Amino acid sequence: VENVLTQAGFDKLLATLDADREQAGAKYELLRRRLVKFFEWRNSETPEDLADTVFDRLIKKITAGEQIQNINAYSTSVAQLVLKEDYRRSGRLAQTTDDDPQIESLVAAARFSEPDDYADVRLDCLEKCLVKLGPASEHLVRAYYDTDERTMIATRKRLADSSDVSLNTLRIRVCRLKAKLEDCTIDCCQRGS
Amino acid sequence: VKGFCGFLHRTEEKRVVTESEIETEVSARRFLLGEMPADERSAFEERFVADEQLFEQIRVIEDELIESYVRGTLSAAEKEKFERSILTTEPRRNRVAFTRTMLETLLQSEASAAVKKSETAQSRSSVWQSLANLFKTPQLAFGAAFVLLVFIFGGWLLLRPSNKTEIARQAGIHESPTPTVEASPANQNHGLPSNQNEANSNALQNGNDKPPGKNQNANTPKQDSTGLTPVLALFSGAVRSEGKLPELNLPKGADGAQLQLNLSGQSYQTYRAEVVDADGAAVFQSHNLQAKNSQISFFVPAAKLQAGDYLVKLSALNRQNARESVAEFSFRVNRK
Repeated sequence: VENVLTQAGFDKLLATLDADREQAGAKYELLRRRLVKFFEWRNSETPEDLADTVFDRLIKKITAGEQIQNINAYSTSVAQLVLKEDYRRSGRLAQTTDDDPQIESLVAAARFSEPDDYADVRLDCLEKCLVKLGPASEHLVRAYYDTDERTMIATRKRLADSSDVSLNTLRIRVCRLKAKLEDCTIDCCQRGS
Repeated sequence: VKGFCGFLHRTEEKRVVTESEIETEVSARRFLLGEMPADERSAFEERFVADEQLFEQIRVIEDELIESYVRGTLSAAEKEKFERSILTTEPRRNRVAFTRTMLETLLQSEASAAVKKSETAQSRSSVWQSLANLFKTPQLAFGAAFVLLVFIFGGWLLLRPSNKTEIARQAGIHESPTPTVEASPANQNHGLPSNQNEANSNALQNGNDKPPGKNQNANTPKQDSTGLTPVLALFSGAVRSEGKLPELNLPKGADGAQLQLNLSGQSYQTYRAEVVDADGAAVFQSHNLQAKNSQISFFVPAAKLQAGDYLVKLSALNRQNARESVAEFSFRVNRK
């Protein structure tokens, strides 16, 4: 991972994102979040490191005096380049192939992997984190997922109607809560419950 | 009229949003499953890095793909693509594992709550049934009959005219007013002190709460009030006298079954139950189970139970944090 991050360089990056420093900070967080997911969705093993590499390169360009008109489009181009380099470095192909033995074994491992001995700790953490969400959010998550495959759509539509929001808003809301729950559970597990 | 027009407008608005959502959903699924050609993918990536709303939408679709995979509702082709594109890195495998854990926990706790509610309703409505059951159970019938005799005799002692009154009556001496009470089966219990009545009632209820012994129809499924969640009580190594396995009759339309494992010996903080089929393949797992009154209950979805023989492997973490086997329970599933 390249490291050219200095306070001056970071300030210049923020200024490129928005004239208002607070707004710029928020935009930086959002862009970083999307870049991390970009790398995750393209099967990178180290999405956070690669997102930081993109920012290092952006800062390098800005510090060198280059004017970036569209920071989002530019960041995507840099991210695609960084990804290709990462594939080359790790010897992986951008597109998986049907007869790739490495992929085969990874799939098999994921499909048949034995649950680890820390599953009980993870469950304990999950219950604690559900409570931490607060009563309304906990109730929403439980109600949203407490359905079988046959009644799932109807149940969620009913839940959206009763919350007076569109189904899509409800899906996004629950998706965010689930991400929060996942982060909390991972954090709790790392602390040892 | 204004309200009516407003309604139309909202409906129209919703319809347009839905069409755009469908388009996004299709693109997002193709992107996530690795179906997009490189050019299209590159443009799509540029769009979602710039567009927070699209980015959120892809996250939702990703979550739903993972949920469908965990629930086993993806088509065979989608499942294969999912495994090849999503399960190949650790961060994404972890997300699948988290979703699996979360769904198991949420579904299990809801099912347990439903069964508990149903059991509570049953126990409330069946005090007289419990009394009748006591007499049907050979081990308890003698004790129950004895307790009933004691109460009848006690009632008779309380309600009969005292010896002193009887002697006086025979001698023709009348004491000052003595109430006379007609002793009849209906009012014998009314003559008992109220705390004895309570104790009697509690004794019956507690008797009902006790787990059945090995020969007490433990392997006969009992239906809850809706008939959708049969409960099967299991005992370690138990095989009925005629050499048959305990049988679970799973009716059509049942959501699943509640398995009640009866334990003996050392207890642990939490347990894991794994249901394996006759080929030894794990079909279902339930984690973080806790024993109450030496019993563990957990719900198994009907989709996981085909007709055939199964084994429940119960394990727990010991003080050294190593997993050890606790007990095994065999049973047979009949689908009706």
